[in-house]
Amino acid sequence: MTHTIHIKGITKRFGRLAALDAVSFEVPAHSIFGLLGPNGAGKTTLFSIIANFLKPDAGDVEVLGIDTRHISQLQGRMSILPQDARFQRNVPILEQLVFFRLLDGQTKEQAQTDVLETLKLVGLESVAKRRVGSLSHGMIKRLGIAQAFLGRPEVILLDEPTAGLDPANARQIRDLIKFLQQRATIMVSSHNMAEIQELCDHVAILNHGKLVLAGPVDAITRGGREFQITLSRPLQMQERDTLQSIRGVRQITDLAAAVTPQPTNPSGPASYLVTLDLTDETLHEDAVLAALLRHLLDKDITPRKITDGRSLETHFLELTNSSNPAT
Amino acid sequence: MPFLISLLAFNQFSGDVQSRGLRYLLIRTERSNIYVGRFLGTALFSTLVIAAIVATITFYLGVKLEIYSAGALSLWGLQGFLALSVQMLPYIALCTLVSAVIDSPFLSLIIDKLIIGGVLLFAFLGGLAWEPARYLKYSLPWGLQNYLLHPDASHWLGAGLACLGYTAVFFLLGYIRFQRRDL
Repeated sequence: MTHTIHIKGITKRFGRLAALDAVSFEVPAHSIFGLLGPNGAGKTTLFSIIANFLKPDAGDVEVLGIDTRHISQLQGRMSILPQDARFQRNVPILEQLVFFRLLDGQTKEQAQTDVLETLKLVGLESVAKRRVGSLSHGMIKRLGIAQAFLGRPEVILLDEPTAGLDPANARQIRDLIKFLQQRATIMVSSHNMAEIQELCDHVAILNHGKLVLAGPVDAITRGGREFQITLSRPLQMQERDTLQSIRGVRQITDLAAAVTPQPTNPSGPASYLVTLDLTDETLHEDAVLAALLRHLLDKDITPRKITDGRSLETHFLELTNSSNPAT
Repeated sequence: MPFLISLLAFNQFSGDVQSRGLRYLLIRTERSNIYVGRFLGTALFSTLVIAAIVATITFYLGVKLEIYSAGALSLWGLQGFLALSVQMLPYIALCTLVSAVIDSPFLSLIIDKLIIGGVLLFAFLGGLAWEPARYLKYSLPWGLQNYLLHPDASHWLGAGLACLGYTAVFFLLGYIRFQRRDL
């Protein structure tokens, strides 16, 4: 696997506060890489160091084999949606984006065509001649995303790209990110854990400036994938043992017993937490679940409801010892 | 003139650093291009403002004082314009340096005014109490800039070179800071 971004021992301090502490990881080529962490974990600082806005106290960042201290060598090859960066309020958005493309070395005609195409992608072509000051918050966010998608960058850094967007626009941007994965490596930070899990194939989790985990999303969630399952009646001890002996099933926990020592109603429905162990890569989640359901139906036990239990969010909360999802 | 220049040149970077709007440019061009470009743009704009002021004054004097010929007044106006154009450069470079250090445009303007006015004030008041303190005015071109209008070429040439020297020092200090700082 080739890597597009190499982050090696990055440390950044603001006074006494270590915003990043010897952070190292790699971003695989053509991946959508999620950067997660609670408030103040150092996500935006890391994005800013990759883009050379901030100078690290120690460590190096290489993008496409180029040390980002020589950022001009990446001109036109890397783009970023910086968090909270403002456009000029009184200049039409078309003019601002055309100016960016002129800086990338395009002619005015090429730049104009390129900008209009990109504005169409994010649904802003109808306001191309309006000033930024007259746009809504969501439109300004999409404008920021449009400037990051200008040209054909090989690396795109998106700092909270869907924050502040309504669900329809957020979906459009997620689809666009997936589409662009064919031609670019994309690094995303987000408030939304479900979004990161849906969008990203790799993640890194930061907490208090330290890297706590990095790797493929699948590998992170495979070790302890969980489902909550509601059955038509409680399981007998022997039935539970049989189910636990299915390859890929690690444990079945009675949820009612976990809450109260009272015995479960022997005739009513009962809920269980099923923990899978998919560390053996030959095992597939769907196949293990199918085997489990077959066993239940053979015993005339009807599954009433199955919901996703453990997710990336659960891992995140465990790793960051936080009760709140990433911000 | 230095106070007017500070009004024209105080916000070369501060506002864009504060709003982070500069980041859209930083990913697309070198810091040095932004730094030099903003300095040259400010110098060009200030030159145009000075040209307009000098032209207005010259025209007004031509109308009010009919004792000078149009040719003599034009020559006087040109001399004044050139002297002011050279005089403004160190003050623009000083504002460039301050703007490269301070993130707030308002604070940047206040500090520009305090430095420009403070040097003159401390040199004057300090000189009354302790003679060598008057040399403080040479930390800016205050002590030399009047020579730019001197009839003797050696005087105005020396003053001009000194102004360029001040410009180079302030410009380079700002450049180093702008290259190294977080933006």
